[in-house]
Amino acid sequence: MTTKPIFVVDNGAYMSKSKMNTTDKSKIIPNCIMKSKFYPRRTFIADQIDNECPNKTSLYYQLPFQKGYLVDWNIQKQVWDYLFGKIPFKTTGLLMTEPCMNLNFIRETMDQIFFEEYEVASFARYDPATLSAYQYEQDMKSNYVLVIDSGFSFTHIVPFYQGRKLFDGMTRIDVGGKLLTNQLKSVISYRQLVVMNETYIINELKENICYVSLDFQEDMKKARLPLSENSNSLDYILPDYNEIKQGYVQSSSTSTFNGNIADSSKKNLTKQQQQIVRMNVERFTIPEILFRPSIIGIDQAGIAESIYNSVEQLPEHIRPSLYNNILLTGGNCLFPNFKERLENELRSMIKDDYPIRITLPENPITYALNAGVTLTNSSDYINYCVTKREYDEHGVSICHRKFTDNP
Amino acid sequence: MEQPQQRLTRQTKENLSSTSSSSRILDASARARRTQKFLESLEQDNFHDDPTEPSSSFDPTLTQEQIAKSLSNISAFGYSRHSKGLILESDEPTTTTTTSNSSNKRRKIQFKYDVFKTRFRKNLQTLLDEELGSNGEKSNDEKNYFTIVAKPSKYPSIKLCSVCGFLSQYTCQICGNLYCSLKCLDIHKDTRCLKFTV
Repeated sequence: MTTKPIFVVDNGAYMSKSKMNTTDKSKIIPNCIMKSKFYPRRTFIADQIDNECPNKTSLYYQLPFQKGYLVDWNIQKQVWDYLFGKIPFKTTGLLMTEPCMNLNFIRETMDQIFFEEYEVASFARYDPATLSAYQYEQDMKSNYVLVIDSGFSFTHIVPFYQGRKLFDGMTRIDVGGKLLTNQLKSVISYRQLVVMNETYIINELKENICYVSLDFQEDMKKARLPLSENSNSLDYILPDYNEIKQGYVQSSSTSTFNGNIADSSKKNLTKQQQQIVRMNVERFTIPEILFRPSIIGIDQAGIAESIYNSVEQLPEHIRPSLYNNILLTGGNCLFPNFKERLENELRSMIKDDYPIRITLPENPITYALNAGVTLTNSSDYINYCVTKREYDEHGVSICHRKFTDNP
Repeated sequence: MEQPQQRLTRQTKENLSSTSSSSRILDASARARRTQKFLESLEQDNFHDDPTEPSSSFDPTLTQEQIAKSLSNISAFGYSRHSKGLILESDEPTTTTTTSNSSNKRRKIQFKYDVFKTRFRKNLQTLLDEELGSNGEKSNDEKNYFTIVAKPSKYPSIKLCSVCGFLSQYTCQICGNLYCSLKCLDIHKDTRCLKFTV
């Protein structure tokens, strides 16, 4: 029963990460449908955009998720159909993630769609934090883990004991990658160049050059310095999808004395057409929103403070174990210095004799996916999933029972 | 010696202008509404219109099926964008026409189960309301979507100039945005202040 192939999907609001538990190849595709004004006749589903649409300006996004929850099933169905391709679900199981605190309606619809529309052999849905905790507790031989899942729509802080959620400490911060990109867009549009329609390009920019500041005041001072001695200011060249296919950082504005004449003359040729955005304070004030949502007027504590708040709600004797087992997952953790900043800030808040250990996996984006694969390969996976036969007999109620009772 | 004088005259000028249009100063609730609106805008997926919308670029060579498909896409999207839970009047006719046009291929795109069709037409706000309703008054002590939201911070917020992005110490008298210098204030007044009021 357990040797059955199972398709694991970490169905994020922005990226859908998937993998067959029998192979080693994972597939990461955007979970959306896009339209381009250059190809008015067609739509691009998921990663078709990478291969079939060379010009990524003014993409029109249709996302199935809203504020992190699945609402547009028509779009989602098209992406799923594309993703599943020719997987024979008669003999293949499915493990799919759902957001933390998913709404009951979405849960039920999902169960029904997979059993009745796709007719999967077995189905399981857990939130990515649960899967990550499962993997972490196995790897580190630890009973406790505090999972930080900072994704596209929001950031969740979830403490676990032996694979079970400690509900008292669960916290959600409504800051995610989408908000950061949109804020960056509006800031650049106001100060320099109107880029409100260029979600794709600005997201790329954000991923390339934004970072978390370790000393905000100090970095602010540095950013104030005149351009010649300012190491923080960067000129970022936006792609025009004609000659420049991808945005990049201009190798310092005074590159002419570097002697690379051939290169610089080539650049001069196109200088007129180049679209440059000068990034200075934006590089660290945007990710700073994760730590201080109050910057843009969200009345919620930042990540570090919320971790402190949620752990302090739990019994005192388990607090050190939680601080000692913090796991970072989700794309926002890829900002440089994220882990260090979190550690610094936590250190200043919690008791001196509590140890802090933060784990940043090699790839925080696919951590939950790989954890899901581990779970499906474990011998007792049958207890975690609902088979077609069970569903036919008990209906939706068994899904509800199994997925909430298990971790 | 010259600078304070300059500032003084500016201030008096300000006072004059603010008294002449004092009704335009936003109160706290209007400012809160404005922030709320701004935060909502940060949740938006797109800031421009659908490039393939049939009304703007109607192509007679499209087959009926393609039109039906794009129509259904748009109505679904238009619906989801209106977060107030209202059913748009324009929604109903389009769905009926598309279903009447339905052929075999069309059915493939749609779900086999008709039950879902009505259920798909729920947006997040209705879903959240349902969730809250089913929990009733108990929702205060139970852990659910509404109660796990992070608490307000006990630290003061970092104040950043709304124009240049550096640290700021001043607040615009009229709209409450932050600014750091007179130069930024001037830019702010020319571009943003009350330009997109509630």
